[in-house]
Formats: sequence, C-alpha cells, structure tokens
Amino acid sequence: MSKKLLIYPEKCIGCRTCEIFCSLSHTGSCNPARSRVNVIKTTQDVLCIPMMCQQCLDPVCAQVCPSHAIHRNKITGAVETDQERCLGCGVCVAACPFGGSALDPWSGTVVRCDLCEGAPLCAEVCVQGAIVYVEEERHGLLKKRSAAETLLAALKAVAPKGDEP
Amino acid sequence: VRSSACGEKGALLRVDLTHATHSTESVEAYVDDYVGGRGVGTKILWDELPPGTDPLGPDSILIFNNGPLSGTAAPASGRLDVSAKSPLNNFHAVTNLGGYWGVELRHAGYLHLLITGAREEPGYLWIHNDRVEVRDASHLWGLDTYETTVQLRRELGDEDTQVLSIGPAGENLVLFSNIVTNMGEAAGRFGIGAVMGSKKLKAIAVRGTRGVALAQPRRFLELARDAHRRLWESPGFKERMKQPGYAGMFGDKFASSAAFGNYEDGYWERFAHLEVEEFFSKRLVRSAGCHACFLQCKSLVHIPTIGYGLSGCTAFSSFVGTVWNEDLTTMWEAIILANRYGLDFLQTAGTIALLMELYEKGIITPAQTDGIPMIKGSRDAILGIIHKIGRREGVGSILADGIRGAAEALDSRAPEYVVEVKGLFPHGYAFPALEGASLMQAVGVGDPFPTYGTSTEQAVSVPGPWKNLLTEAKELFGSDEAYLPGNYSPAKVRMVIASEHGTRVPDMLGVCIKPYKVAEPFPLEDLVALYEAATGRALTSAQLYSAAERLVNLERLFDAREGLTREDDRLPQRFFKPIAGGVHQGKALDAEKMEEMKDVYYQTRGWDPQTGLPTQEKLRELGLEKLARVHSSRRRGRR
Repeated sequence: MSKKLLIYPEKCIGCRTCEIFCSLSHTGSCNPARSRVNVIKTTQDVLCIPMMCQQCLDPVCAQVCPSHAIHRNKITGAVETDQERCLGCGVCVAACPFGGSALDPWSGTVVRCDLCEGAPLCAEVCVQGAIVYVEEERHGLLKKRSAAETLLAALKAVAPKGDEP
Repeated sequence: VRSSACGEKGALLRVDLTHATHSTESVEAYVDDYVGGRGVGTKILWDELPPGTDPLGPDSILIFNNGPLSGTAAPASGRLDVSAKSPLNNFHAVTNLGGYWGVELRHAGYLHLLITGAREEPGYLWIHNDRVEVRDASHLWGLDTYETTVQLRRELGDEDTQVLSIGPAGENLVLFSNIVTNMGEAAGRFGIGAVMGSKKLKAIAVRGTRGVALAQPRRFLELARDAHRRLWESPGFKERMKQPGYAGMFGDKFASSAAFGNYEDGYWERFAHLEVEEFFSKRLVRSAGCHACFLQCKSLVHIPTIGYGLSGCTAFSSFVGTVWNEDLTTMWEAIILANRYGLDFLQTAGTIALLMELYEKGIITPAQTDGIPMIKGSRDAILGIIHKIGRREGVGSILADGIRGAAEALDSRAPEYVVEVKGLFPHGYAFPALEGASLMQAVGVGDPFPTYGTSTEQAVSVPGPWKNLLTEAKELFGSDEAYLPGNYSPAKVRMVIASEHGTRVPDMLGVCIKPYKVAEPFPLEDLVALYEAATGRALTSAQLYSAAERLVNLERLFDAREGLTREDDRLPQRFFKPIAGGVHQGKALDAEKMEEMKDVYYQTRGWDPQTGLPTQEKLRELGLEKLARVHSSRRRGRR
C-alpha cells in the first residue's frame, strides 16, 4: 500500500522543526534555505502552512521538463529528478503551483521532497501532526474526519444548553 | 562563504555605529571557559565595557549571544541571550528572547553580534549573510514595534526577514523599555530598549541563508531525533499537551498561591472566577512554537480592533493580577499597547500597581498622575499610564526612570510601599512563603524567577502529590528540607546554588530551558552529546556545571565592579510581612534567618559573607584570579 504526505495547516505551530531536520538530513547542515519543506508564514507570521512537493499523480513539473529528467520512483512513489539529465533551467520550479520544486541556492540543482526513501523525517518530527504520512486509502477520510471535528465543535458551541450529547 | 561553526573565524560580528564599520572575529579564546551564549557574552561584556560606563552613553555596548546549539535541530534551540549594562539598575542586564531572530542571525553565519558606538541620526542595521549595512531610519523613528517590522519587511522586500526593533519607549529612553521581535517576543526587564535608543539604533533586520555546519552531521541528526523523542515521550510533556499555552495561570490554585497588586495580597477571589479559558479559546488563532520547539508555551491570539499578539504567563499575570484588572479585553489592550511601545510588561504593571496602592491609601491624588485617578483595576488608569510612560509625558517622565525614584519624587511616604529587588519589580510569586526562591531572588542577577529546584519548592508549597519530589530532594541535596517550605536549611541553600547553575547551562548552549524542564529528569546528557556532535569538542557535564559556576562568579564580579555589595542583595520589606490571604495566608519571611541563610549561601559559594563577593581562593579555583583586582571600587554609571 503506497503512502502519501498529508498536511493539516491548522495544526501547524510554525516551529519549523520539519525544515531544520529536512535540511540536516539532505545537506548535512541546519539551513531552512536548503530544506525541501518550508513553513510559509503570512500576515505578520500569524498564519503558517508547511509547503512541499505534493507528489502529484500527473506532475506538471515532469510535463514541462525539457530534458525529460523527472520520473516517479516506483518504490517510494516520490517524483524524482535525474540529476544527470537535469539542465538546472528551473522550468519545473516556475510551473509547480505549490513551490514543490526549488533550485538549491548552493548547488544550483533542482531539489524536491524525496519522501526520505519511504520514511519522511518531517512527518516523524512533527509531533503536532501537521505533517503526517498515511496510507493513500485513508488520505481523504482523515481529512474529512479532521474537518468533521472542527464542524462538530462549532455546532456544539452554538447549540442551546442542555442539548449536548 | 560557507557556514561558520562554533569557534571558527567570523563567529562574532562587530558593528561600530559611530564609524559605520564592521568586522568579524573568532570567539575561540572564550569557548573553553565559557562554552558560548550567555557565558561568552558576559565575558565579552566584562572585557570590553570599562567600569562606570554610562549605559546610555556612546561607549556602552550591546551583545546578542547565540550558543553552539542555536539554530540547529536540537530541541528548542532558538533562545537568544542579550547582554549589556542595565540603565535601570546599572548592573549586568541578563535577558533573552525566543522566536526566530537569533536563529536567523546564526543562519547568517554569526554566533554573536556586538554593537558599539552610537549614531547621531536614527539608523537601522541590515544583515544579509556577509552583507552588513547601517542604513538611515529617520522614516522609522517614532513608529511602534509592530509598524517597524511591517515597514522594514516591505522595504527590504523579503517577508522572511526577521526584525528586532524598539518602539517609542526605547527611543524615549524609558529605563525599562524592551527590544521586541516581529513575533512579539521581547528581551525585557533591564531597559536594553533604551540602550538601543541611546545609540539611535531603531532596528536590526536579519536574513540568513548560510545555515549552521556541524562537526558530525549524521551523528547530530540521530542525537537530535532521540532528544526530541525523549522529550515528547516524557509524562510531563504528555500532561502539558492536554492544556493550551495559556493554561496553568488561572483558576483557584493560581488565585490563592500568587502575589496580587503591589504584593498586597496572596489571594484575589475575583481572579479565581475569571473566565480566562473561554476568553482565550474563542480568540485563539493557533499555538505558537519557537524554533525547533514543540512545547506551545505561547498562544497566538487575535481580538478584532485590538490586534494579534502572543499570550504568555507574564503578560497575563502583569495586566490582570498585578493591576487588579478583571476585564480581559483591557488586559489584551494593555499587552498589545505595551508591546507596541516596547515596554516591559511586569515593570510597567508593577509601577501601575504602586500608584494604585498609593492612591487607595490617599498618599497621591489624581493631580500627581496628570488627572488620572489611579483606581484599582481601572481601564483608564492602566492604559493611561502605559501611554504616559511610553511617551515620557507628564508623570510618565518620572515613572520612566524606575520605581524607587518615582516613589521618592511623588511623596515622602511613598518609598516604604516600593517593591523591588535591584530596581526590578519581581514576578508575582508568593515569595514570603518560599525561602529558597526568595534567597535566589535576593542574591540573584536581576530577578531570576523560580526554576529547577526553586520551582519545585513552589510546587511543593501548595497541596499535591509531591512524595516522589521529596525523595528526589533527599537524593540531590541531602534532605527533603530543600523543597519543603518553612525552613532556611543548608540543603535549601545547596538547592538554590544548583538551580543557579542549572539555569545557566541552557543559556550557555543556546537552548530554551522550558521544554527540557518538562522532562524528568533533566536530559543533560543529551545536551552534552549534541554539543560534542555539533562542535567536535569534548565536553562533560561536570565541565558544563563548572563553566556555569565560573559564569555565576563572573557575573558577580561584573556587578561588583559596578558597585554591588551585599547591601544590594536586599528583599522588599513586604516579603517579611504576613501574606494577607490564600493558601499561604500568614506566612512571612524571617529577616534574621534570611540573613543567616545568606551567610551560608555566600560561604557555600566561596564568597566573603561580609562583602558578598567572591574570595581570592574561589577565583583562583575558577581561573578568574586575574579579574579579581578590579572589583573593589564602588562605581555607578548614570545619576
């Protein structure tokens, strides 16, 4: 059963632990600028959301790559770049709607989440559960469950007293 | 330029504002004795700041200190130490802040940032990796701290820039003004905002993409993973996660075991009934985490028309319990207003609390407070005085110079109501019932609120299942008296000394004490192993504690060089009077026994009980004998 990364922005506390571990494991240094995942903060740092490659079924990056360097790893399911064929042109970076591909500022080559060979470190170190790695078949249901909990809490808050379950 | 690890050339960035120049240098020479962070920062301050320097003059200096673990994957490695001479009490300002600013500085390639000199016109410092510029800030002068961040990020065109700034309070040299980050984190208590203000330095914006290189990256990764996991899996953390960041400071337990107002009472019935949880949970945007920290000790709260901000326990207790305020909307207004001005919450609230007591007792009239009746809990009084102090306007210009001077200026009867330790209004703990915490407060640098053993003493002082803690006290300090209240035993002194060293260990390494405290026992071995993997240097926990002891002594020498004697280790009169209500009702410190306990403390530390200063013998043991010759003369900086 293949797995997918699932992101719950509402659970993210903006601690950037995912970034620091990602850069450490992939580059040997602690440097968010070289991380495959980045916690984007907006509105004066109030809102935050981890952004990374979504491992699309039909990746735009692969379609636009002029040297056909982007393929799916059949074992991990990760969308990977063949560094031998990569031109470093950055067209995949421009095309991705999520910012999933990026040019590493040090090497100039394309970097993207590689799912850590099937055990993503970002999900492991996110104790808040903002990034989780789950079986594909549970993917949608988990998101529904999370939304349902929010909805039920809201309904409960407006329900007249005494009507609580 | 590749990243600079601990001790490498370029670990310290020196910026001279007078000549608009900068340079980098190594801190290698300090690392063996002082590890990093607060340790190295204090030594640099000792070396570079001549005794008697006016903290608000052009010769004063300001140092931002990352530790060897700052900005790495080590848990909670985002705490930055800031060192200077305090304009509030003319001693060593020991303060720190969380969030991301210090981490960004580390990722730009710097462990330490040393600011010297002063500008004639307002300026701000822009650090982007190895590009360092002092730029004009005349258009920013007068803006509050939030506005400054927004404006600078817009100007610099990078939302990921981390900004540290002063507000109008720092510009107006309020002696308890803070330096505030974009997230609302502040380095406070000692008036270092005024130090920046006196240098006409409005802000420091940093962007760093060089990162931190590690001596043994693979090993560091595995150690950091394990350290995080051990903290999450600790029972203390699981318990903590059941509550949001603002919990633990409301309800009957808090209402009956804290200090209220100007330390007038130990219980406030109305406080116990405040609907704090409902207020915060409705307005919570999210829990907030500092760099690589999962603890969520702060909550990001939004109230329309007032604004966004971080709620922590000091902000809350300051603008509720200290100023007798029952209206939580007023509390939020006060928090945001003080942060925008860049004012210290607790010192501001303590000043207001004093005025409220003086007004209630008929010692001052509204005519002395610019027409504001200082009625307890009054919104107009709370917000009005914040504005006055922040702008140094009317009575605010007197209040801005510190609590004791203000009392003396207001009325000859007022000084006896002043509650301060070395010029600082203490945190709202029930000190008269806590002998250990009171000792630490008396002899400490600034106001060390209860940590390690002294926080356990506080826990034990109220009913609860504390049996195992008393066993721990016996093992660590030889007697359960160390934690039990109601005694002045040598075991308690040993516990205080261990706590003083314990707080300095994370400050030297560059991590925040909070998540590590949640775990039992304190995972010191994890930190030592992380240090070794990060720096490639060998270190033992014994060496770390020995460095902590050296640091305590150096800090004491610094203050002695500025004029400190045993006389300054004085507690407020109110700590020796019975607490009016709550679980500690009737408890009071015994003045004579406290003095005897201080004797034991000085002797145990190897200090002279007469002077309260380190003996030659102790300094020789710590390798500090060369520093000893200069600490005898009594000097003061300002006024």
